[in-house]
Amino acid sequence: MSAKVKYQEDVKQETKTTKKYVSKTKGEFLLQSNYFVDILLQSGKVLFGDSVTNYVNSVADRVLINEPELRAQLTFYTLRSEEPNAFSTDQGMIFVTVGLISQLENEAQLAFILSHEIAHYQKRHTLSVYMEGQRIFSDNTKSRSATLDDKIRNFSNHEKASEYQADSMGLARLSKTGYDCSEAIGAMFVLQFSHLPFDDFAFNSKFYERPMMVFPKSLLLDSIPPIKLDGDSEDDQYSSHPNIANRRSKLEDQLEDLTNCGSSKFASTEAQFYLIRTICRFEVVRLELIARNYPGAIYNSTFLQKEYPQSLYLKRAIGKSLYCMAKYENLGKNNDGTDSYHKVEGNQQQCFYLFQRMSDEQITSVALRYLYDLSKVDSSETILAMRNDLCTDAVFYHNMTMEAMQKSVRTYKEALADTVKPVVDTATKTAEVKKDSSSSPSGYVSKYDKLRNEKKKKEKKEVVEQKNAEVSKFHMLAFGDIIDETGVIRMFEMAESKAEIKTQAKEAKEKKYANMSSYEERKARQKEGKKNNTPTPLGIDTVLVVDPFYLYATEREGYKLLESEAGRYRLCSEVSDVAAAAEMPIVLFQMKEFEKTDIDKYNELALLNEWLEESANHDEVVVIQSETEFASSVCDKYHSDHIMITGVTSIKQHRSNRGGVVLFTILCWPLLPAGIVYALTPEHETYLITGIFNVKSGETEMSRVSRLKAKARSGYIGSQLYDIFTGIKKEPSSTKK
Amino acid sequence: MKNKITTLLLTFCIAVGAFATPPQHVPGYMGKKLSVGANVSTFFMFEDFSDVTDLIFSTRFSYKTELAATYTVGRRVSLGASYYFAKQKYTSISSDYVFGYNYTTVMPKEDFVDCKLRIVEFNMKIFRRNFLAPIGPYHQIGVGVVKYNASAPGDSIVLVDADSPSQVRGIARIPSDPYSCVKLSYHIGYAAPVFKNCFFNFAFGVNFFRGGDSPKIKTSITSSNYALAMMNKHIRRHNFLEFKIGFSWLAL
Repeated sequence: MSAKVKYQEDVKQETKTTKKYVSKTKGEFLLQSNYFVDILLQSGKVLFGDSVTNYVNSVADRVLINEPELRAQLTFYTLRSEEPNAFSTDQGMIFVTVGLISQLENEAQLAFILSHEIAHYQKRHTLSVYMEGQRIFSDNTKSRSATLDDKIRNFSNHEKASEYQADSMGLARLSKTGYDCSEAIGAMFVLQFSHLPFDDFAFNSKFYERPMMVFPKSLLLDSIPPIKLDGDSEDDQYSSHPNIANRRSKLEDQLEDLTNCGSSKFASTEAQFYLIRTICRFEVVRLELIARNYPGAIYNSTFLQKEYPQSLYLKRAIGKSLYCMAKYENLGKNNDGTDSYHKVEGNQQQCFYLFQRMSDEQITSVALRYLYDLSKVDSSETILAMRNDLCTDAVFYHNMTMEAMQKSVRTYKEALADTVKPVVDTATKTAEVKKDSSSSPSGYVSKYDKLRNEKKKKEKKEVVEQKNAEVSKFHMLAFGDIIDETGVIRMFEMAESKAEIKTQAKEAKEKKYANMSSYEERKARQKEGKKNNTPTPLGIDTVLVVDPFYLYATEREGYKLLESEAGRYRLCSEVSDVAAAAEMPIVLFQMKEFEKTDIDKYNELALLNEWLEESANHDEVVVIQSETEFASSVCDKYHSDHIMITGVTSIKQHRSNRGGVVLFTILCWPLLPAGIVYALTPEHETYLITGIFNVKSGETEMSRVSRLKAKARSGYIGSQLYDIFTGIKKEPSSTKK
Repeated sequence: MKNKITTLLLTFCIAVGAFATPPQHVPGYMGKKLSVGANVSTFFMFEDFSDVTDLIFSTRFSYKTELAATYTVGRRVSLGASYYFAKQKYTSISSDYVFGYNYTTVMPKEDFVDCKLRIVEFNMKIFRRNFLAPIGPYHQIGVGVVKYNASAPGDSIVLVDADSPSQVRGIARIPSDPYSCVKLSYHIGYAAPVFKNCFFNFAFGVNFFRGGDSPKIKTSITSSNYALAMMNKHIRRHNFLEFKIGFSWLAL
């Protein structure tokens, strides 16, 4: 059922209930909430029928055991998001994120959170908050003199009142279910510290060290500041939620009045709750990788490894995190998905500090060694591809060739031997012997002997300094202990040949523009840019088209949601028709196309969307994504390596030069009718956005934005899509040869 | 004269051919590159207006029909050939015989003369950036040969004295051989797709009628070139500007 139909039904229902016409603001709310919930449900972020959602529903059943009518109105879902959050919608949908479940201590806390959200639904807080917001921010009569600060404060007071009411009603409901009511306070404690990882434990950096690769002290923190325990009473006057201290205090007051509270922390078995929480924790690690919080993912994986030391999933998560961090460093790109180490609290700060302080060659060598070791036990395609890619980077960017590494290892071994018999001592000893032999029996040392000795001392010192400097390049020693292994030699041989090709390509590119003036270079680049508008021949047999989008906006009214939804459905059928006309086999992933029983396809859509989300997060950084193995499994099923996103954004606006045109046509009167038509009709702009990605290599093989100064007619869109489909189907010229 | 026109057309075709060499991928519209269609062109006729009443009540429209075939040769370029035909009414002075008791006098009288117009035109459409030929907004340039004549063989135009217009100097018979000239045109237009295989075509343009038989007028007006001069004047007035609307079908 489309959002439009749901919206119309809601309006009908609202009119029936209140016996009044639905106001414009309320209508807007109903439309927006239906539209965005629909988008959320179709995104693949919502879990259906899985063990976590079933568990959440079983807790909800228990919470609402005495209210079957209310239970029938509600649907509970789990949302794939690492953010600890829960929310309800006016349509009776309650979403709990896996990030929140991963932080909870027991089932009673989950029961309280569900009770709290049920209260929001019962009191229609989402609607009232929206209406209040519209009233406060669009009221031009009563509060015209109010400053923006006053308006925000008024609005947040209203929101806070809703939260207190939901807390109170949630606790009251919890008290009737047999759950331990004091866990409402526990849930508040969880919320306060939900920004921390699953547990706070000392991070062992030695896990990433190898016999010859030891981290210098400069990469480790001397001390770690304690976690702030008093952060629950911060100023909340502009915040949508009350501060935790106030909420806890109100709940404590209410608890004192409750007499018939239960004492059960778990209605189902304790083991079941822990299993569900562990599933969520594993999922959070994956979501952290997508969000590019790599040190966070490593820290949480290390924690989970204590319980599951043999888990390949966790080992891979660490490997992928290290790989991505190294790629960002090598390409000199900033990863804004990871917080700076001083912004995180607790022992995880050490983990963040270690990887953020490492130089690009250091992180590359650590990651490469980890991936090499991992590839011995896990020969999955993704891990091997990441290992080889990073090895090429190591050679290309850091000159980590086999020869250079072997030399460093020799130097290290020599330095190690010198440490046993210190070089300086030997030098002194030699000097002394020389001194003894050269000095005269009277003890006279000539100025030449003195200078000779000085010179020799200086030379020795230089040699020692040089050796020490080489030893401090620990990245060259990452493979020191296994430098003669066949696997290592083969890996570096391959990487060196790839790096050679890369170097040649780079030089050719530099050479191309080297002899050009700045004007010629600009023209040449412009020409290249124009060429890019022609679809790249990729020789694709089948492509997976993921969830086409359509946005329609007008200058006056902003996004028009109903038109956008209708446009999306039109675009989907257009894509199918055009692909058939272009004889391009496609697999269209779009919720509307799915049957109710198409759970597999829905989950596949979720995986592809997550891969694309990660790809969008990486932006210009070309990496083999952490989600590759999941997305690859979907692609393999449909015998394709390529996924395609496409969408249309259409904007209607006034023409900017209306006056001038009318004036001109008045002067040239025969053209006046045309001038009037021009001035009265709006201007349309349509953007067709298309991207084709190779899932296995992580590369964006084609990216095109066509700006059409016309209405988004299906003919234009179809024409562009046909061009793309026929273009990408063609074999690239190198393959032809 | 014929040689000149042939040279001009040939040069145009070579230039167009060189310019429109297909790059590597010419999609057309859903794979279809050849379209055939029909358009009608119309605009106000520019008459000599003496006052506003004339402007309102005497305004008439010119009219032409076009049959066109267009082939997409590049991502943004299509070449076409068009055949225009029209019967246009040009105001003229025709003869009226006044019969007296023992005399017959020819009197001048303002009237319309039906004129036949035939144009064969070759054109090139260059579509705007990001649009793919043959649909979208475009610029069109064209060159063609125009043949024009009176629709009925016996039609005549009265040659009046310039100093005293009521004085008839003679009657100019319109020759059966049509006059000719060259048409150069520029249009901006818009091909809007409808359904799967069709598109509407809207264009606004300007036509210049040059060369051909018109240099003959430069000599003094005689009864032999008077018809040509009259028709030549009107053909420019009627067809200088035009608004075109039509419908095309994507054939192949």
